[in-house]
Amino acid sequence: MRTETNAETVKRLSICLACSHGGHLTEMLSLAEAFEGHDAFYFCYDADTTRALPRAHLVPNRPRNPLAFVANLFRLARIFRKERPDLVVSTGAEIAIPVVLVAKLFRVPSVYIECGAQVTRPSWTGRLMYWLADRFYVQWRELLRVYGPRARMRGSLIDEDEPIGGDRSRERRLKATLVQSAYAGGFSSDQPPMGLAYIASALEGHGCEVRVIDANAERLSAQDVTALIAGQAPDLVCFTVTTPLLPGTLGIVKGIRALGQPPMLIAGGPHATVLPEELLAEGAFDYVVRSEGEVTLGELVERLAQGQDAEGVAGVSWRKNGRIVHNPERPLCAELDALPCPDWSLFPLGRYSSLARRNDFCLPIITSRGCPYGCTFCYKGVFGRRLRLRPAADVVDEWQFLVERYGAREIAVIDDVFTADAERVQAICAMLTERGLARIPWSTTNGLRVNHVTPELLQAMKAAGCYRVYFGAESGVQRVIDSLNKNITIEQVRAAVRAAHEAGLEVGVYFMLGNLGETLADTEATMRFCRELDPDYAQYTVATPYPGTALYDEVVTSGRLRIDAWDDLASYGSMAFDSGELTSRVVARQYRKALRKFYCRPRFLMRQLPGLTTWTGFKHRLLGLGLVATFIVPGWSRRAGRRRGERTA
Amino acid sequence: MIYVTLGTMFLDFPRLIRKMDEIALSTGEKTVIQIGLGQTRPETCEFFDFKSRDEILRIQREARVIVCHAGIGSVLDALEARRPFVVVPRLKKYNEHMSDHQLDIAEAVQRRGWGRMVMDMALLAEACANPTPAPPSYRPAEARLVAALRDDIERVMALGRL
Repeated sequence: MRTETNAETVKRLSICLACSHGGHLTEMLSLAEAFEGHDAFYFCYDADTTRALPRAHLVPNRPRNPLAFVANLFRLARIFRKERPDLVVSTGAEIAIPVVLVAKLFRVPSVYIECGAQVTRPSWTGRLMYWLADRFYVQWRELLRVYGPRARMRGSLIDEDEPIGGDRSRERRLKATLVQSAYAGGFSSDQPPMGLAYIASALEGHGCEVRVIDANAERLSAQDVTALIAGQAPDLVCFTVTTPLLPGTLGIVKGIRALGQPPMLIAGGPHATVLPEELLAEGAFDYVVRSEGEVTLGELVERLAQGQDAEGVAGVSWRKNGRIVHNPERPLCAELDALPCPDWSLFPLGRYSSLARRNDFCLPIITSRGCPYGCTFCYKGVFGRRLRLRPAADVVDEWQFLVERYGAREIAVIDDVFTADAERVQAICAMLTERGLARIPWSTTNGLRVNHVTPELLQAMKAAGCYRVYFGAESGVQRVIDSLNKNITIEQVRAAVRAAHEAGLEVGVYFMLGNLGETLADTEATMRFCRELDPDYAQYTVATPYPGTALYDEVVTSGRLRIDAWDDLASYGSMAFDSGELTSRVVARQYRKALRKFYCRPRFLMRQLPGLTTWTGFKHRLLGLGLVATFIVPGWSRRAGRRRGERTA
Repeated sequence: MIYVTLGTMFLDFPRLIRKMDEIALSTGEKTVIQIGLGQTRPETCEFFDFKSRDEILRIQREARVIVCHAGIGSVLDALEARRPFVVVPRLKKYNEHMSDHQLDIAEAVQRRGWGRMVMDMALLAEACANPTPAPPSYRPAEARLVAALRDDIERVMALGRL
């Protein structure tokens, strides 16, 4: 990297542009604007068109000669040593291969743009570059779904490509960066963050230029995120804040505040909704968007774009003349189908992976918001307690879009109460089959309520491509279930698991340990119940009182909360309150024991054998083995529990 | 006037040239063909091998309809001229191209409603007589791709990696 000292320090990159001499060169020249202000040099075949280029290293055009290929590698090594490129960009064709290989050797990042002539079929160079290059762009929607999650489509020299949320270029376009920080326990990227994707589309619809930074997926430290934001120089930065994300978020905010001209900082999400004052403390956020953010944030940016403040924007908490003001509540969005689809094109989709899925390229969908039940451990502040259902056709439209636009190979339904309206689910399933989408596997990852499923419904789901359902049983003791205000019976759990198995579905069951008043015998009974149910997967968590839940209020009023800071609450798998009967150590021991007892059974291990035949299946089981090791070795459980993420339902 | 463009491909495309001759003969409409490197010469139609890009864009804007092979450069020029156009893919089986990728491009053009694809030469006369109107708002997302690259460059400057 060259540094020039003018009035201020200006960085210029040395960029290697590699392309052959025909249409690939034409495409590169069309993109020249992107490299303005940097030192670009070409690596091309020797031809009339390339001899006219200003700074070019030309090699003889012998693409299929293996000796020429090796000679090019050596030539390139010399060129790299001389020019010291910081970045390689190629529009193809096969000339990209030696360049990107040498770039790998020199640890230089590389970008490959698939040629506009490839519409539905990948080029063979493209297939290789998909794995080798650090960024891989295609120029046709048709091709995006053919490649896979590493491929991105962000504009094209030929095709039209508008942001999902719509393109409303205004005189003054605000630049917005959406951020999810790292989790308190470490990076966790099971699934792309749905909330941010909805916010991204909403802001695009209000004329914002949106960027997304998912620190978990990209393994970015707080310093990295701050450096990125400093470079992007956005007008506003929005954070999604849950309790486990809070420490990481505040770290980044501190970094941003230290920048010369800090952008406006906006927080949303569960933790921000419950405790807006905390986030509006001196030196932290400028605005908190409470509850559902799409409409509120849209209105807020309209006002900010005109240089105004949050006066009169319902659902915002903010600092007015140094004093914290809470604007009135905003009613929850009544017509969910009026919201634009989440924009996944901004996310690094190749970087998400979950052991709870069959395929790593899985995109989430939410078909309803809100839940009328009153479980004590569940947080309802964002989506509320009134169930709002999207119409079946609207759900299946998005489903089809995820499959046809992005090429999603699996769908995760992340509703809290997906099957609340059986007729609607039947209609969704029928439409999935009708439109040929039943071939795409899906699962209901946040859990169904056992009182909501019937054998017929589960069979319909199976026929429409569902391969696994999860149920929230929470405990094997009726008294404990009742204390959680869960409103289900042990018998209903048994019947639901049996019906799902009979429908040919895999079953996962969620349990919690360390609830208020739970005894050692109760935890043992839960483990016995789990073995009796014999589900395919069992997931245990340690009861955690997140702010805004009934459980939290209860442990606070009874003086049982045992944390010094939110960081303590954010580390999964450890007790954050005095449950009455059990000590923290006992709960941690029982937690490990429960997982060990379930996952180390020969019966469970035998069931894993068929899954080993696919690459993803093999990879997931290998990673799973590592996880199981953490249950066996004491002291590792904190890391293991972290992977669960925050769960509701 | 019908303007026909065969791009810079070194392989011949006699199927289209012969058919355009036939159509020009029967309708009497002035037809100009840009031939490129191919060997076949039309008998009725006017033709030239290459002209400067500016001149070609001028001819295209004057055309009532553009007939082009499904090369990316030709399709882009036709779209830029904002004239109705018919796209005829070069096929491997007639030795008009080394692969059938022009078929993909032609199909995409048809799917987007940018122009009309013709595979069967028997349908070409009708397509030239009734082409689909040019898309009024066609705008390639070039600026977005440039912005994406600038983002990547920004990222390398901030982190030294992508």
